[in-house]
Amino acid sequence: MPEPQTIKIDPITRIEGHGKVTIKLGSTGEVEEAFFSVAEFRGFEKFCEGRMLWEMPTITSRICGFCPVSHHLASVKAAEALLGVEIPPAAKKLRELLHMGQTIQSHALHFFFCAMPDFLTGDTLTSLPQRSVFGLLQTNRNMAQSAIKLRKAGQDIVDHVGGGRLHPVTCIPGGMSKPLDNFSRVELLRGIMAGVKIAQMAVKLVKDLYAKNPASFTSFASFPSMYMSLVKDGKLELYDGIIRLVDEQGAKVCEFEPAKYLEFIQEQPDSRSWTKTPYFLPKGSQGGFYRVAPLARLNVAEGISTPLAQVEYQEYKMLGGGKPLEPSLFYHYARMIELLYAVERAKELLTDQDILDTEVRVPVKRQAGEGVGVVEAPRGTLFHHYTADSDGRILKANLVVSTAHNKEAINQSIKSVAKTLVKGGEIPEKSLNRIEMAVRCYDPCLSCSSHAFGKMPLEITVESEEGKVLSSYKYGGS
Amino acid sequence: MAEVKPPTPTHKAPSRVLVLGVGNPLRADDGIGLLLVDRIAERFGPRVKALTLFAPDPTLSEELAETDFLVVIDAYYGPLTSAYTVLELKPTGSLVPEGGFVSHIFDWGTILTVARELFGGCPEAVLVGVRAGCFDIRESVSPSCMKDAEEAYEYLVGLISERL
Repeated sequence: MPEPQTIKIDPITRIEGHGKVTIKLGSTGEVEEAFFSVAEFRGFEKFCEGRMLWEMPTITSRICGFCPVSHHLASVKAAEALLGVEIPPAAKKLRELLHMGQTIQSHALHFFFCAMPDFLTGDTLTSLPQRSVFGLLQTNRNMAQSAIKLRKAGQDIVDHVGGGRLHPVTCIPGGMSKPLDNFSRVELLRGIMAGVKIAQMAVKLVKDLYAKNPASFTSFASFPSMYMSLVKDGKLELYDGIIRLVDEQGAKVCEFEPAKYLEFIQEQPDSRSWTKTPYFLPKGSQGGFYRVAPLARLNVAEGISTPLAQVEYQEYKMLGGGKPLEPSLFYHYARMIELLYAVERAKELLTDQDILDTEVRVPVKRQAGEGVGVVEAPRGTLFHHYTADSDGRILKANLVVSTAHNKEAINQSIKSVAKTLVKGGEIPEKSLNRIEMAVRCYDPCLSCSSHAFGKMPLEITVESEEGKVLSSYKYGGS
Repeated sequence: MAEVKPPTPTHKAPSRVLVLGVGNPLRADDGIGLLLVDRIAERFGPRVKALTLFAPDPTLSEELAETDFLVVIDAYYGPLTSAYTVLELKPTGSLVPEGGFVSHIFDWGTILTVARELFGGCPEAVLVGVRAGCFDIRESVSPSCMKDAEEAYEYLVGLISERL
């Protein structure tokens, strides 16, 4: 009888950051447990204490190079909630446009550069250089060209509206530090108009992948869960709105104002990871796990406000017969529908003349208080919660980030996939990427959830129950 | 009276010049490229396109294909006897970076290749590396690097002026 083993995949590739997977095998060689860990520590919440409130949008945007805009926005919204400020309508539109820009670039990056190589070049580990963005550049140049154009359209919005290609600086408590000029608007619109077609192509691409092999989607990392996201008038919403949770049947569990999140969401530490595990408080830590991000957002929403994305949403929903779609590979499908929504919404905002209004800022006064800001980041619901004194000094900062919400779902996905692949202690090499694919569905961002600046080799270690290394694998990397 | 020949036309269309400042402003001298690109943007105004970024990014490849002359300004870490160094950047001819398949790491040669292969153009390109020695976590550039950057700035102004 084989000894109990532990399989570690460390680090996971084509995600943002440095994480590892551990799969524990029982004495019969069957998968007993699986978990995803964030391997490093950052500590933003702690070292933000003592900083000034108005510094927070700039400081927290540095948490991540993938979704700095989300942190920038959630932070400034928290600051304004604390100060009791209502910003001008044009400022709100500019912020939403900024958010769409980031969603476009992030979703395009993840789908084309991180996820697509798995579909295009197979899911085995036999040719890693091919199964990467470079493989995509070599094997499908039209797609690579489109991906680059679409990502650029999003990045240009972040650059023009946010004041920098990577880390935005323009959102300040009270509004925006600068309005949008017409020259920029026209330039951005040009990129977005082309982006609509590319986003439609991306949706078609993922639909074709599904149509080609529906079972590969429906059988991949499928399990019931609750789902959580922002909604506005019941529809998909990335910037504003209220929080809604639905159960595995799609029935509404609750709705609440973001400011009341602590009544519904609790976090608990996990000794195996630097990321805490949030759960739905009324159901407790064992039964209260839920999913966030694209799959969850489309499972929660009753529709999409933009026309092209709405058509795709209706078709997508039919696949689940109106019920939530559970298989994790549908994250990619949902992500592309969101991409289309973001491009359409950006187009709407850029064609709205009011967005050029120069009144984009109101004065603010320091005051003690507490405020919560929430946005739907590309990777899920993001909470920033600050308490400040009357000088505006931060007394406490709590960030509940997207990837953390999905941690338990990632664990379940890994376990689900590993169960189908790991038998009797044997670890076929090709299964390792299937397990990574389960993680990649969630597009996790470990920089946000804790720390990451990782080398990207893939290392897998098989250990006995006593920690003895039975075998190890290592691929590529710098 | 000798016939006077009309002067030979010397005017040609100004080049499309893209200046990229690369680095991390939170890592001391690593931010020198960003500081210099701001000064270049101020000096030349709309005649040059100036951008800052943290690392080489393939998203720029379409922009590079529409550029005649690319100047990358970056911190240079390594033995250098002068204030700055100038390196010619050329497409590698391969869509896979020399350093391997790691998607977090791109090099300019690969990105120029992507520009040429996917978007049909590739600029003449140079990298101006400013001598840098301090990469601590702080926002200010060291005095010695600032001094070297002055020399680099003068060179950059001359280099870019020639193309406009």
